[in-house]
Amino acid sequence: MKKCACAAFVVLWQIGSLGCGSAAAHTSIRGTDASPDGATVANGAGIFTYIRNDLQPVQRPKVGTDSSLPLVSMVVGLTGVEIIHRQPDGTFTATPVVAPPTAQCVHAPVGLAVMDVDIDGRDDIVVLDLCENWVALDDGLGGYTATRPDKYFANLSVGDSALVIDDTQNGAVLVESNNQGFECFRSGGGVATPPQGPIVDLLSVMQTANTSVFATALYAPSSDGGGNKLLLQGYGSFAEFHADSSAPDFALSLEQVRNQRSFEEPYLSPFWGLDHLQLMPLSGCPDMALAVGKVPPKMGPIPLKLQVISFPTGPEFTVREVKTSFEVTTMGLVSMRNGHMLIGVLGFDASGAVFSLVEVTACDQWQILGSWPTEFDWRTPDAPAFGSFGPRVPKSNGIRLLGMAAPDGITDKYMFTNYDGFDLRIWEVTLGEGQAPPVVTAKRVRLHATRMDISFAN
Amino acid sequence: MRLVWIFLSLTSAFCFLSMSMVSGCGDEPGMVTDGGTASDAIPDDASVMVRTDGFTGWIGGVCIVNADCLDSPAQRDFAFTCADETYCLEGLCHVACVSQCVMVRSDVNPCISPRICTQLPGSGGMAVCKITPVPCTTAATCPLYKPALADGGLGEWTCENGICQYPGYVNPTQ
Repeated sequence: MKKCACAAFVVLWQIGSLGCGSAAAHTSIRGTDASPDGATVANGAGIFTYIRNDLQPVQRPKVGTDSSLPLVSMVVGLTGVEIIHRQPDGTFTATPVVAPPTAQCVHAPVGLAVMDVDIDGRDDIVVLDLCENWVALDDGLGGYTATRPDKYFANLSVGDSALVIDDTQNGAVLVESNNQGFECFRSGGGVATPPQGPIVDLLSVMQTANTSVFATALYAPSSDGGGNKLLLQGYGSFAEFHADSSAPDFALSLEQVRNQRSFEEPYLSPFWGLDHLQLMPLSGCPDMALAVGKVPPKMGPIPLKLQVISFPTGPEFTVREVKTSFEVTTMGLVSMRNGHMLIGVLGFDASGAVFSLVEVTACDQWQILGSWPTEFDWRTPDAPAFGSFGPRVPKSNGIRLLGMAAPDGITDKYMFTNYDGFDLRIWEVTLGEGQAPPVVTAKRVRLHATRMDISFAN
Repeated sequence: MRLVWIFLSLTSAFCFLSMSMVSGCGDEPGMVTDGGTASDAIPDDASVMVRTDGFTGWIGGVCIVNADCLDSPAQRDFAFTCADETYCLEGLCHVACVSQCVMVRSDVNPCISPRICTQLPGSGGMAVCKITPVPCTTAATCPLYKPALADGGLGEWTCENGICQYPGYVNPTQ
């Protein structure tokens, strides 16, 4: 049987202080993965089932020598949102953040935003939920109190929101709602602010730039302070918008459609999609990003490789492969103390899983610091509706690898973390002095033994 | 016998026309698979319609080289409106629709072997999976796909006597 390779995906890339109309001195990168693993659809699970899995750090005022590095996690299909803490003794705990009770439906989170909603200096969590949106406020006692969002966000849309971009500094959330448009919501420190939007008519964008389903978002400050830039990824192209953040309605204007016109050997044509797209800010460089290039299976067994994307002045973008001996499943980025970028890469070669480190030293220069055999087996939860075999999804679908600097901020130590809803995996990296190779320590912490996918439960 | 063949052909044609919507057509009774025992099943003056993942067309008529198939039963019975190619494979004439392909990497062939992705001259970059030797005027018109050499490296196509040639590569049809 022929299957339609309808795996279309679009990436939203916001460069600049989005802030829903206000200038921002500080923003953060947020987003979800796009994973168009061709036309692979198994047991109805669909290829997009897990793309909204999320893992983000949560900022809290530091108390003493606290290095708990809390993370907030959302694994689509599981019961909700969890906070993962490192305890003083080095162990980890996963604490569910319980949604407000409702008799209407079963909670099904599809989007996370981390921001200080109530302006108390502590990060809170905004949860977009197919049932009912909610906000989890940091109670200052180590826990969270879930509440309805009405007090903080007026009319926050309930729907299948593929994109959620949050601006920690401005208490603003940009939500793509049901593939119809973007809406901007801003917390007013306890005062509801009417939504502005939709600020982008997605249907017209789709026609203009041959784009389709939204799946990935990046959000970062502009490197030159020259305003906002919004890039929607289509098939081998980006629609670039400039945004006037001072306008009340956050005016967006289509600036150009970027295409890839030149190809580096052995590539001959654009990827259909750039998965796991992440901004890679490097001082003195044009806007850059990192991604895994993908095409539908019918275009041949194209190996999944790391790609560096560059957006120079003009209507083009360039793609260069980071040559690795293995296929890439996912990757995470972290800024190094020396201004370089450190990329943690998870992949597979013939002998099994591989963890690798790449240091990006300049706009078009990088070096592989090393590769180490590792253990990595991302799981999906049981889904009784599909029998004992459950839904099967490709191994690259929805896998996030979060890069972070060591909590002390003074040593060349970095962490790359993944959580599949069962096990927390941490790769701790200590960079060596001079030519000394990095030291990588892998850790697997079992937080749950068995879980059930509520999406598919009868 | 003729009636049976017509029935099979009509059934298969239905499968072809609806293959994007209907599953299981490949399991129709009487269907012949590419590279199977077709020579035993097909009379010399007849052809059968065949559809597999890599082939949609008619098979019929004995041959030695591709040119023998220009007036073959397969050519006579071929009833699809599509870009097609006629060739001799394993002693039998084949006429089949070619499928479109897109080359993403020069070292990865998106077509089902032994077909290779070949750009159509003057088509603005359109390419199809072909099994026949690729005619050329210069090497620049030869396929973008470069099969791996014995040492794992890649070679270069050359245009010799109007036909594209590649080190170590033998055209599957002549």
